[in-house]
Amino acid sequence: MSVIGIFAILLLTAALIGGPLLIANIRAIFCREVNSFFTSPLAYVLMFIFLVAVNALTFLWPGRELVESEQAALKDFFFFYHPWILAFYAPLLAMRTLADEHRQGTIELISTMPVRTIELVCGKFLGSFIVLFASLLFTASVWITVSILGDPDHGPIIAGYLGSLFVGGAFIAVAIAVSAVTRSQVICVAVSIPICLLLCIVGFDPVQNFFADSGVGFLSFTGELLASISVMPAFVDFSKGLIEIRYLFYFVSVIALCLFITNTVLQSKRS
Amino acid sequence: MIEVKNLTKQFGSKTAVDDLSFSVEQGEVLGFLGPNGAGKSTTMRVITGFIPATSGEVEICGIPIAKQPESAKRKIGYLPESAPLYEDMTVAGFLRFCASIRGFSGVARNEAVDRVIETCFLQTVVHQSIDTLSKGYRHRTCLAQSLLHDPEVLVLDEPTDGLDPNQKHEVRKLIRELGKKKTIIFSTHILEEVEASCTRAMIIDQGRIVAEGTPESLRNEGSGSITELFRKLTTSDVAA
Repeated sequence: MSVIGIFAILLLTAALIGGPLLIANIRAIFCREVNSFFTSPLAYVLMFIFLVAVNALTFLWPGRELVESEQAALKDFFFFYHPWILAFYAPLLAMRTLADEHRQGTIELISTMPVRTIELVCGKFLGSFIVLFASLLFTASVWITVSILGDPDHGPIIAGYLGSLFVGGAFIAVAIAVSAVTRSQVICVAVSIPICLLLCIVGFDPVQNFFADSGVGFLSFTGELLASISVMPAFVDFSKGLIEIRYLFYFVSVIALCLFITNTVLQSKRS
Repeated sequence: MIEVKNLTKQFGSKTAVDDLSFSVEQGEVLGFLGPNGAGKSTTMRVITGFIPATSGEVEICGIPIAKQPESAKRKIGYLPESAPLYEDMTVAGFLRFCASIRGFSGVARNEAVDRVIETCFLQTVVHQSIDTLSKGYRHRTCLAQSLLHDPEVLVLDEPTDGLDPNQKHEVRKLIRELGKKKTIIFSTHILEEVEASCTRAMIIDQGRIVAEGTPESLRNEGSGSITELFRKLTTSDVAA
């Protein structure tokens, strides 16, 4: 898996340095994305649902209520749900990016301007990513609550947030890659949510335990292989406060791979 | 100037443009005529670098678009056929975004935007959301973005489509005016437009040039009417 990761990062780097990279172009596209997101009522609805989901699961999930647990650590409550919620939320944030360009025909306009495809892809990715960042910022109310009620260790919480950002970034990259292929937002969401969920499920403890307990060599190997492509082992470490280089590398390579695929799809679509 | 050499574009087994060669000099306005599906838009898309050619070359002011796309695209202003726009933006916001991509910032950007708003008569809709614009305004907004960077080459795919007679008249006048200094190629279905704005015209059918010349020479060839010539040359192909 690490070979694929290194390969993906190298390919994206090659695409980035394949010509002069204009930060001004990326910034212009990024600003347009963010503006367009916040001028749409859908954006506020999505953010609202995201915040309700995060807070409801954290405080109300039967048997896992944060307040009743009398714990100030957020690992098993708040962050426990993050990958699952993000598997829905990130594709919904990113669904418009390229699907809309194709639907409106503006891809023809932007492609005939002096913008490199990779600049377009990076601008789109960063636009969705910053919205995700803002959404996660609003969930800090939970962090403030536990800080008032108890004395949490802030290190793991900060690391957990970093993990959520990386998981969200990876899912946004997946959704952007899917949105490069289709002009329909519905199809983009319908394809990318299952992919993101799959990236969670295959590394989820019960699934991993099933493979580990099977006692069959082949199944154990499959389990390890699935864990290496899943976001879960990496995210769980982050939420415990452990920031490992190999997991940083994992997230960067997933994002790099998806953005490289997007770049390639967009370029080949025109021929 | 635009130089097209032996341009061929195939989509699968279908040949949309077949070994097309022509050039447009500075100060020339070339009218691109042809029935639907003749290959006009495809040719324009290759010229502007949106799609690559299957074979052949396109040079914009001496710069090959296939090899140096960014440099060549800086020289071109393009109005695509359907006048695509970002629906969720206002006219001013959209033009400011396009100006940023074209390398403008600060005061220069505002000046460029103000200039094209005036040129394309968009003053009354500047702050209006694009999704509420009529077809005519949408077309002019898209035309405005093609003029932002005062390009040497203009490629306009049906620039008067959807405009009312007054607007058509203004756009034709604009094309004539711009054509004195720039290299312009524009496609149209309206044959009188060729006589009104072009210095040269070309009729293409099934991806090939079937007639070329000044509006006058084409009129003579068609026994007094370009429409006659158009019908003769293009219908004969349909019949075949």
